[in-house]
Amino acid sequence: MWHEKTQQARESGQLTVLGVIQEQHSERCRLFSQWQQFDWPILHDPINVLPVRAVPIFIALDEAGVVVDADLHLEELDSFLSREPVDAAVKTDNAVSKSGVPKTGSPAARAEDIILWGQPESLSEAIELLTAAIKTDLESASLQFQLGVALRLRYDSSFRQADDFQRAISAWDRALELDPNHYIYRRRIQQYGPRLSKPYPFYDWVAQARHEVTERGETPVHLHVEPQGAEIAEPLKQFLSEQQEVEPDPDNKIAMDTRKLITAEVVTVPSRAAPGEPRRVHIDLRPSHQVHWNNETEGVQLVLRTPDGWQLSQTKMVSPQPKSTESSEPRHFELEIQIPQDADSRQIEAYALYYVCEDRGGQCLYLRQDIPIDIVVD
Amino acid sequence: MCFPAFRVVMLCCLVGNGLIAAVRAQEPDDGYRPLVGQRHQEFKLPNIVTREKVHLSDFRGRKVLLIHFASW
Repeated sequence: MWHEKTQQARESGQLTVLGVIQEQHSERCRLFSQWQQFDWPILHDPINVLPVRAVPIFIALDEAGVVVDADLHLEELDSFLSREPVDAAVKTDNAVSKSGVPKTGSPAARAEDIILWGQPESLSEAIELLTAAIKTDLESASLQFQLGVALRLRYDSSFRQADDFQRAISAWDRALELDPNHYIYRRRIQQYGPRLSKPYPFYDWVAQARHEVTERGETPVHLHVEPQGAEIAEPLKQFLSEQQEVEPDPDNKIAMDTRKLITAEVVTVPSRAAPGEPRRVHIDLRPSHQVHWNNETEGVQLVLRTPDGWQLSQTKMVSPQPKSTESSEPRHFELEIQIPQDADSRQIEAYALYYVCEDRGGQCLYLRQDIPIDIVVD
Repeated sequence: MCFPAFRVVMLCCLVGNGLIAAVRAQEPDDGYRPLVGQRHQEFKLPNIVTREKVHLSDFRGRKVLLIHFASW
């Protein structure tokens, strides 16, 4: 509605609309903007430089950059537009910056610059700077949040390091623990978290957007990181009941992947939980540089064993196979675990079965890898 | 947007038909609230399309509607 309502004023030069988004992945908003045909600039603030705690917020500024209304309502737009112009050079007090804004030249400011403007290869420096800054400011929720953003950015890059995603979740958990009323922090965890705590599917509009953009004869904006699992799943009001499946290798007879031809990474969201709470588990399997998936067979299987009294949303999952006969992309699984009321921390037994072929020599193998899932219960 | 009805709001308040009041009522009191009558703090952020630096002061001399939102 704002888009349509402001169109005439934008086209006549009477008004500039400037969007600011708080999302981790800016290209998703680019697709959204393309879909909705927004023609106004949108800026990316993934680390909460502007201390926005919730959205949407509509702020009206006059020609001098002075705040006229910090909570503009649609019905007040015409009144704002009809205000007499003011001298853009008028002297006025600057709004006081919020505490927590890093001083120019400080390590935190350097980290902020890297995250906003730097290249992926510099993210490790930002992560080190933020980690060091946190050691001297243990109660800073914003530093924790920014650390989580930097870690997830590195996770999504070719400079990924083991545990980046889990460390990001832990940092975001800590940020929310320090500032539990910060809705931007809360949403970042919910994006990847259990469906029981989801308010809505975050990115389920992507398929419709692509379809409609394509129908218009345009090419949809490419997404660097495809939304998946929790990011597009519908919320749940109650936990899914366990699906009993026949275990494919109950006696551990399939050869183990002792050379770690496939690397497994497990992330739990949130990183810690209390008894009775759900936990979402992300599992990624990545081929090493020595092998690729054999797609002419059944897909990768993930098998889980349910401890007594616990509930798992799935006990057997199979990844879909691409059309190509071979590939080397990561295979992603997500499931949820309901922790019993009287439970302690424990390990969930899981294993994957997969067909891989060696790049050199072309030997194809059917292998098993055990993937224990550590569930920390507070 | 950042609330249970946010996705709907994202579409409705920017391009659709309403729900603005319903969402506003849920905003926390201690959020980002630039002070009326004071110049908004200067900031620079990357444009999501060009990645170029955009300063708020680039728009001095024009009325600006600053919209904080998300596509989720």
